[in-house]
Amino acid sequence: MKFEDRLQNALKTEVSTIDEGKFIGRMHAAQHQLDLKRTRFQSSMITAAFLLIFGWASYSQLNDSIFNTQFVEYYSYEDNYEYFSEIDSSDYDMYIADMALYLLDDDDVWAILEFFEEEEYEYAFNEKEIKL
Amino acid sequence: MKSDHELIRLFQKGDQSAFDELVKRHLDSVYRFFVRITIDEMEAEDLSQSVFIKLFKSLKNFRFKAEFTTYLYRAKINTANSYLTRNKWRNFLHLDQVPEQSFSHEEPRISKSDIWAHVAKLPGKQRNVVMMRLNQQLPFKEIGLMLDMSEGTAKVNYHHGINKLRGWLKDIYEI
Repeated sequence: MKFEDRLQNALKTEVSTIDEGKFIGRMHAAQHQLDLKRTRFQSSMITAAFLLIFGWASYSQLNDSIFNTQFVEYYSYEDNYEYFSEIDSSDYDMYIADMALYLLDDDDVWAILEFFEEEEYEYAFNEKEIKL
Repeated sequence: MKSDHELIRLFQKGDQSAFDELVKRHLDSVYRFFVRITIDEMEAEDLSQSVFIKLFKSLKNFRFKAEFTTYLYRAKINTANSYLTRNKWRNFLHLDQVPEQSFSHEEPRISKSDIWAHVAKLPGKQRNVVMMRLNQQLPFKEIGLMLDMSEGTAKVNYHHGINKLRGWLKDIYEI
C-alpha cells in the first residue's frame, strides 16, 4: 500500500456528532471565566502598582523625616556644648551654680573663675569688674 | 440563509446570536479537524472551544478582505500547531513502544500519535501543508490559498514533508 494511503488509514476516526447547544453553552461559560480572570488580574496589578507607589512614597518620607534627622540629633558623637535649647538652659545654670558652690567650699575663688572661663559661661563674667 | 460575512457584520454591531449561528455552522468541521489530531474527543472539544473563543475576540476587527473559512482554517492550524508543540513530550513517550508484531501478511497499522509526533517535528511550512493534506485531504490549490502560498510551493512542501515522515517512521514500522 502507498505510504500516504497508510497514513490516511491510520488517521481514519469514527467521529460522533457534537451537541451544538451544549457546546455553545460551555463556550460562553469558559469565555465568562476568562473575562473574570482577566478582570481579577488587571485589578490585582493595579492594586500592586498602587501599593508599590504608596509604599515607596511612605518609605522615602520616613527616610527623610525620621531616620536621617533624628539620628543626627540623638546619636551625634560630636561634642557640641554650644547647643542648648531654651528648655534645658536653666538646668545648665543650675549645674554651673552647683559646681561653683562646690569649688567655693575650698575657698579658691580663682578655681571658680577658671571653671567659668573653661565653660565660657557668659553670665558669670563682668569684664569691667575684673579689669578694675 | 445569511452568509458568513452578513453574520459577522451583525455580530460586529453587537448581535451575539449571530456569532452563535456562525459557531453552529462551522462547529462540525472544526471538531472533526481536531478529532483527527488529538487522542480523545474531549481534547478535540477543548481545542474547538479555544478556536471559537479566539474568533469571538478577533472577529470584532474582521475586515472582510478574505473568506471567513480561510480565516477559520488559519485559526485551526495555529491552534493545532501549538497543541502539537505543547504535546511533543507526551507523544514522544509512545515512540519507544514497539508496535505489536503482526504474524499475518498485513502491514502494521501506523499509530495516530506517532504520525502527529513526527509531523510536529517538521519545519513550519511543511508541517502546515502536511497537516492540512492528511487531515482534510484538501487539494493543493486550496491549501496554497489558505496558507498564502502558490499551488506549486504547497506541493513541494508536502513532498519534502512526506519524505521526511517516511524516513522517520521507517525505523519504527516496515515501510
